[in-house]
Amino acid sequence: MPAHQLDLENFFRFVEDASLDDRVTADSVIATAEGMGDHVSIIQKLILHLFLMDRLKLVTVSLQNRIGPLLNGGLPEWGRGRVDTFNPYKAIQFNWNLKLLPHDELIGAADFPSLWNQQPREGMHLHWDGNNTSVDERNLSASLGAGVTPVTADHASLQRIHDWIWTLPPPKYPFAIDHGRSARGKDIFTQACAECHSFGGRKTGTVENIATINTDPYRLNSYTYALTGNQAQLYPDSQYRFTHFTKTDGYANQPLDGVWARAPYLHNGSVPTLLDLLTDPAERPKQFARGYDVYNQQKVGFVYDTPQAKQAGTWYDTTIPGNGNGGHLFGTQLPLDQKLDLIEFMKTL
Amino acid sequence: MNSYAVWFGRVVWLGIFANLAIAIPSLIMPGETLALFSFPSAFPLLWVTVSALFLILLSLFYIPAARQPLRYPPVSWLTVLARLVGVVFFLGFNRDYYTLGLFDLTFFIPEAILLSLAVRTPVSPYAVTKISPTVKFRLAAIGLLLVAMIGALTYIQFFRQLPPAYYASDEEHFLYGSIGTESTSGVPYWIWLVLPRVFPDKLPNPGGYAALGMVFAEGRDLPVGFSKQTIGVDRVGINCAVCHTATYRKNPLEKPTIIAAGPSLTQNPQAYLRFLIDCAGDPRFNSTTIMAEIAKNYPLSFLDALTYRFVLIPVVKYTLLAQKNEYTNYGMFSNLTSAGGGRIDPFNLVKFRYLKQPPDGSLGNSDMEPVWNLKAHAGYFYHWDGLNTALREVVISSAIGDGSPLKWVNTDWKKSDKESSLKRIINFIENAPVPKYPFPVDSSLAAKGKAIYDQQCAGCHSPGGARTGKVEPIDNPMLGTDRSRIDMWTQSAATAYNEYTASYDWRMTHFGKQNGYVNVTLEGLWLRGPYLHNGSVPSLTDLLKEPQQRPKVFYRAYDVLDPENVGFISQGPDAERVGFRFDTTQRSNGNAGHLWGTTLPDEEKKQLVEYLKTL
Repeated sequence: MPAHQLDLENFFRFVEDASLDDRVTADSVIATAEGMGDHVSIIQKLILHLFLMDRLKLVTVSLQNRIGPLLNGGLPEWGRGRVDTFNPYKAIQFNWNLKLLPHDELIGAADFPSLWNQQPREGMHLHWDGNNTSVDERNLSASLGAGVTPVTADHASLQRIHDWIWTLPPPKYPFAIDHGRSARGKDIFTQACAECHSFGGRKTGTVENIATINTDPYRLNSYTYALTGNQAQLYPDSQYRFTHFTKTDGYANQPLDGVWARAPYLHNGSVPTLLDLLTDPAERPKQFARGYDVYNQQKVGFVYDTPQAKQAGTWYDTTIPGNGNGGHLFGTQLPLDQKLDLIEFMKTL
Repeated sequence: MNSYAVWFGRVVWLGIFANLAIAIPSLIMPGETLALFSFPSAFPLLWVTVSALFLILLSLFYIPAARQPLRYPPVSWLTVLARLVGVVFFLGFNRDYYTLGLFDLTFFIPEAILLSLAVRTPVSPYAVTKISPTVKFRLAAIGLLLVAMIGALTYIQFFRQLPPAYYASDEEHFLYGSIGTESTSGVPYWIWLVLPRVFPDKLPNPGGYAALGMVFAEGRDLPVGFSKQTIGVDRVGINCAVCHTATYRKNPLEKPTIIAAGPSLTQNPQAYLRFLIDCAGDPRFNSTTIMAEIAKNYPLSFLDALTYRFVLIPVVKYTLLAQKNEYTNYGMFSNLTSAGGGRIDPFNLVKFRYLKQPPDGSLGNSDMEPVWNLKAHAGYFYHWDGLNTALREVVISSAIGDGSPLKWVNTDWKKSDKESSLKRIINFIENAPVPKYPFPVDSSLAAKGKAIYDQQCAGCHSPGGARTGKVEPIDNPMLGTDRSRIDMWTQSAATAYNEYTASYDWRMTHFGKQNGYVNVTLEGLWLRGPYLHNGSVPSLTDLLKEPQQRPKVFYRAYDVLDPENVGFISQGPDAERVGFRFDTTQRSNGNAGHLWGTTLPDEEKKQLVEYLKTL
């Protein structure tokens, strides 16, 4: 399930700031660990004193030099549940100087996706913009984002994860379902949504041109053709070399298994609930809190406008570049009753 | 003393001299010695000289063991131990310096073996230094084995050639096939791969090699125009497609369409060479830094790692710096107008390096040309100034210009049509299709334009035109374009090129000196902007203007089409960011001349441009 509460950007900032903080020294680390009751051996102490802390700080400075423009460059916040996948990649794997890229290209935050039920996705366009059609390549690429290098990648471990997510079923909707509504909703879904969003649908897993879907374009444009060329040089001279990355012209039509657990919606998580998504863009919430995990069964998504939600989550402003909540007009013209039927059915996916 | 002891003494002596050979230069020129061995720099250099001093002193203490190994064996054993300590210290704990560990290992192994044998062999009171035949035989066998091993390793790591990848389609062969340049100018693959990541500051933009205008087809690890061959190790060379593959986009967010045999707008061989040379001149171009980056990408075998660390990286650095000197001597490195993306000075290097012409300060910057549909060009003059009339020679000489050795050409030319790299390329470009204009064309407007074209342009530019494919004298006041490119080529160079391959049966004889520019056919004209031989006019609409009205400064190498003016977008923030600032007042960049059509009424110019889209 997408980690819609995780504030990854601030986690990075915390690790970076803490590592470079003057108070973080070998002595303080040892004292804190021992204060917590851990035993620190003499060899561990020696290693910490001799080079490990120096190395931590050097590596952190090097990382800061590379991705500083993303974390501290005045870009829109990722917020909870989102990550910019490909811009850190440009700096960490290829050492591009991000300061020289066009400012708009550095805006690429998008929702964490769900990872269940991968088998039927093989061959579909994966990632929000559909830039790869191989599950394994997508996994390997994601592991680079998490910090491995082509030399340190643990392929056996990745294979275990592959095997697990290959057939992992999406979680069942945990609340009651109105079966009458759901049955009516199914007909609407079959007629209006299935072509793009059901497994086996004619256009499911293909890329929908940005002009048609008309959702926020920043994430699409942050992934560039120049990056595909660089990615094809990863895992060089091995069976793992990337050969499937492609620059697309839109966003991929996603299968909707477990969609109830994948809120907020759209690639950038700009629409908090399914009912809001079925609303005309002008009427969708302009600002809301994301990252609060209490469920809203009426609208299907997480609660986003109560004081508790505001306190627990990060504030999401749809008027900021990259956060646009326009586009995907499908279903917005339905009468309210049919919309309720439809989202009742979508709880069962 | 037994013969093992004698040989032990000799090895120790050799070790003493070897130590001194390292220590004395380190004492006198510590910085230079470090650089020579590709060691990381040290600070302060005092520590290097102190180490050298201690090494000299240590070596002096080896002398008793060298002279009389068995007189007091513990001294001899200490000598051996000292080598072992070096091995452990450098190989085990200080890998950056592991040449020194190997150095000590080289002495440790024979010293240890010989000393063990020496102390075990009873001392013969008679034959003091006589070596028994068995020992002689053993020593000779060991020596031979060592020589054979070193020979085999040298062959495997530096000379062993595997055939380059064979591509079934001629187009793929044109794009990625080898034309033999790996052996002369091939960069070892792993160095080539990591350079943009170690030196991003030396590239004009982020993007790795793509920032130099290289074109990566999706899923390929080498860009268009680059080939790989194993010669010892994998090496990366260039081929014809570097300059002769076009790309275009209909809008800035689209991915480029790649057209083999079209003229490149983005490739910048001069910038690529300068990038490599800049890297070589940087202190970060050392084995420690580059090996660390390679290690992130690929686990080299022990042998390859040694080869890269101690031979290839230093040799590539040295070779590139030597090339910088060579180019500087030719007057080709500084103070000249940069070519920019899509342009090249195609003959000056050949003229100086191979044809031994004296440096003349000339500058031949010119647009990369399309090489499609060449079957229809038989009998025409080739190159902008018409310096040759035989396609076969144009292809061979271009390969030589790219770095193919004559021996390679000779072997290749003897192969069958299916096997010969150059013959396959000729076959491809003779028949390469011309791409269609990718936007709609107003056919009624174009029909009117055709009438104008037939009357005003066809005589020089249509297949079958009276002057098509012939050289238009530069003195023609209607032509009068920038003459730098013509002046670059001389009769003496043409004669020298006709002599250059005289000893081969494929010798080239059609080089000549003309004094003008060729009236070229206009297939795929929409994809050939900027226009004129030096690419000094960004669009067809501009070309039909009076020279004074043409843009004085514009940006080239940005491959988004401009359907309005026909050519590529050459102004605006995106073109400025990606493109090369082209100043028509600089030497070789003049945008004057070619006055035909400039006096047509605006209406007719529009019709004509519409028709030109269809060519």
